[in-house]
Amino acid sequence: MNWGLVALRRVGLVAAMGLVACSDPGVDASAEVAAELRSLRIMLQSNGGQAVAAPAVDRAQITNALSPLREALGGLAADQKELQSRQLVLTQELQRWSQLLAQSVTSQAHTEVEALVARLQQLEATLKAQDARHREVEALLGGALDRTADKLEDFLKRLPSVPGAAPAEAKGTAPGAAGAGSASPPVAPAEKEAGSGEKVGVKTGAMPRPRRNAANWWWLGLVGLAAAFGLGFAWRLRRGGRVGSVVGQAPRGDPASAEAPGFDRGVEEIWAAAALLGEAVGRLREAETPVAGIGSQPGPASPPEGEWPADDDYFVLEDGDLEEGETEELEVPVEPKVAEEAVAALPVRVGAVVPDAPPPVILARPAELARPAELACRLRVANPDRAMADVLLLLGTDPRVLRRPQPTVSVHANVLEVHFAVLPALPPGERGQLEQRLRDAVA
Amino acid sequence: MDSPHSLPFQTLLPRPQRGGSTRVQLGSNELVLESVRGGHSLLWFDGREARRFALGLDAMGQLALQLRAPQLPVRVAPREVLAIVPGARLRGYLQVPLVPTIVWRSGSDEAVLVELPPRDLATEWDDADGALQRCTSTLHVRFPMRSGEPKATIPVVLRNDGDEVLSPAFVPIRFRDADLKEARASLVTTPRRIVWDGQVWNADAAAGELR
Repeated sequence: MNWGLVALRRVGLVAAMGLVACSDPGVDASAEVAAELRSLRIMLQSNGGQAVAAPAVDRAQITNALSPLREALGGLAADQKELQSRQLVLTQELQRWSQLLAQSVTSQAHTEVEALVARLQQLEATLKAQDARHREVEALLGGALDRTADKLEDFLKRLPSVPGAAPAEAKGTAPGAAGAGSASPPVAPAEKEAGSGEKVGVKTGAMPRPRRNAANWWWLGLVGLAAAFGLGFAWRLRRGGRVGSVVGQAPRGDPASAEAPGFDRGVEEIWAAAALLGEAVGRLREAETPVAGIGSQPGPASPPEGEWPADDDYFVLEDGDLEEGETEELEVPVEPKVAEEAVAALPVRVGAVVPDAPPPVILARPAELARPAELACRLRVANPDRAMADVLLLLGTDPRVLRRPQPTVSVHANVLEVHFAVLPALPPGERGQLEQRLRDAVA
Repeated sequence: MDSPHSLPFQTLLPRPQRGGSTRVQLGSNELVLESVRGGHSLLWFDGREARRFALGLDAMGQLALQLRAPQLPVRVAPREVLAIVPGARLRGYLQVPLVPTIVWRSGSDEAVLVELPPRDLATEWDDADGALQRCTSTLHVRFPMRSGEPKATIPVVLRNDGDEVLSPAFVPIRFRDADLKEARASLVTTPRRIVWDGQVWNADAAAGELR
């Protein structure tokens, strides 16, 4: 029995050893997993390499396929750049136009432009009027001079027929003497003398000018002859009782003039010509005076109180004519102000521009010197700081509230106490409305 | 009106039919008179703020909008710095805001209904000068200057009779309604000749009282 049990043990031991020997001692589970991972990684790398390599082929194909579009895109990009530059230019131009429009819309510039346009039109009208006036005056003056010269020439032609006239050599000097005699009397102004003398010199070109350039003794002779002629002329005038007469003063039917010989009639004509010339010069002066100061018209600086001058008195400015009329402006007859009430008066000086004007007077205290009405109101507010700002803004912009004394706002436990002064004689309705606006502002 | 910028002294406000309105534009100001149930409604808008008035009018009479001179003396602060040497003078035109006034006229009677003091005409009062008004103006060198705004143009001639250069902070102006005349689509007064004697401003008779 023992022999069988021992043999059975031996067989079992051999089988166990055989099983142990059959097992693979070099194969581990972790190694096997790691190997599996390596194989998977290698497989993935190989797959990835294939995936990367495949698009390289596709990119080339795509590049070839899209190459026509590249040119189109380039053109589009160029167009876009061009549009961008054009838009920039347009934007700049629009900005400039906006600035110009803003400048033109600005009231000051608008006013200036309108004033300039009006001024230009006024100047053009003035220029036309001035030109027409010049032409008229020139024609008038030319006609007057021509008539004067003609009358002088006629008079000179009639001179030899005058009894007791100067000898033939003195004929050339007679016009000068007559001209001097005609110009020196009281009516003829200096302009008349110059005008008539110049014109006579022109018209009497046949007179012996060379003799005037001769020796001095000729001058003495001529002066003597002129003096003699003048004396005779004066004597004739006195005898005719017409010394200093001016055309128009004596009637045409005057017996003295009817009795006067042709010499007196010639003198009359000379006087008439001189008067005509004087009238022409006077009209010339009258015409030139407003031309020089056209538009300025400092105006009668002393229009009666409440009376408006007929012309443009409101012009105080004109280029180039600032000096003219300044003295007249300041020579204002000032009516002295009379104090209405001297009691409780505040010194208010009202003087005058003229140096010799009456001294300033003390005027009565006008109504506007009375203290204005002050309003006070209390406003319950939730946010005092904001309410104070709102109230001050409202009071500062309302024209019915006086700027001085300045409105005051004080805060006392969520209550605004507002003090401000209002316009004199502000109706109660306006005051109430103002207070209501304050309440609305802090509500 | 001759032009949109013309400035009449007075503009009649015809009362509209029931449901209608009368609209008047005066510079930047606008006035709308409406006939509503129970009376008339007047809306005044000065470009920044609107005010509404309720008017009770009878059948007789008519409404008019008048531009009146400020009742108080005006101190015009020029926008430019003025500097006048002794003995010299300076000429120019100042502009003073006028007070649009709604007037009710019935026959020969005339009553002021509403005064609309302009925003740029501030009123002040102190013990020394009393009540006066202040405004600013450019010293214009051309006339007319048509802006359409209700302003009076005051030709001024400032002369310095003092011994020092005059650089005034203000120019005292005072004028009345009777001084205003319509000329060249503007409301203008006679020239004011004002002299600084070194201490106070003096004026000629036409300029009237200064303060």
